[in-house]
Amino acid sequence: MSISVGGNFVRKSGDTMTGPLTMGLNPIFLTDGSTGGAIKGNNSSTSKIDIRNKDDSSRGSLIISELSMSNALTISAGKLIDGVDVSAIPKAFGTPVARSPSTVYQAATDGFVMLLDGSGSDHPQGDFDGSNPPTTIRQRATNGANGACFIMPVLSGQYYDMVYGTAIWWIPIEP
Amino acid sequence: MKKFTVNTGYGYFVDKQGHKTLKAELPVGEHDLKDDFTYVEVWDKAALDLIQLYIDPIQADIDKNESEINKRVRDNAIAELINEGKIPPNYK
Repeated sequence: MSISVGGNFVRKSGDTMTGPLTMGLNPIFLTDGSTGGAIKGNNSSTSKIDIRNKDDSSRGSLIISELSMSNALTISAGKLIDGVDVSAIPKAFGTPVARSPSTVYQAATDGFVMLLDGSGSDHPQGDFDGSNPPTTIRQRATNGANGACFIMPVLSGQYYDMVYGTAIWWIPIEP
Repeated sequence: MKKFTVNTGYGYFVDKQGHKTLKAELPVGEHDLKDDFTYVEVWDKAALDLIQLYIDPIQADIDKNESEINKRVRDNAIAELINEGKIPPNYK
């Protein structure tokens, strides 16, 4: 069944319809008469609401003032939310990787370098910038009897090194 | 900006005074190089581990003095707080 509506269109509660509903200029208001607006799929596990442009099926939009979900929101990789490319949103911290002091590395992703220096006398320092060797000091710690530590964020593609440090770990943010 | 090419992944940087300042473990390929430095490549990680980096004696002296100052400031502060009864006498 296919219905085309140019003005107001009212259906009674409990009525069912299959096939497309084509509307003119008016928006669609759906109510179930008891709990306010509702759009319900059928009982199939694949039930979904598909909103797409009639003439261009690759486009379509849905404006929601409040969204409540009982399950995960799945967004295709590379699609946009308010200008943010969701494929670039980091998922989680990766596995820490041990690093050596006074050694230059290039960050393959955004991440953090974590440094602990227990020598009690060194002055550990963290540098990073866009060329070799990195000479822009971003972090520095004064060592004492109980050692020194800091965490330095590093941008993807930048070069970094830690001067001194008895334990240094690279913690990547996985894309 | 100069460029240099990494082939083995292991090397070190030499500054304009000829000092080996930093080691490097970089991805193979072309990288940017600051004007005052040259890059020397070594065969592998074992060879890199044998490289001794230059330690600036003046900076090392400053670091040592700074550490000693920090230690004394801390020790004096702890002694004062112990005398005032604000922290236990065995505080370290």
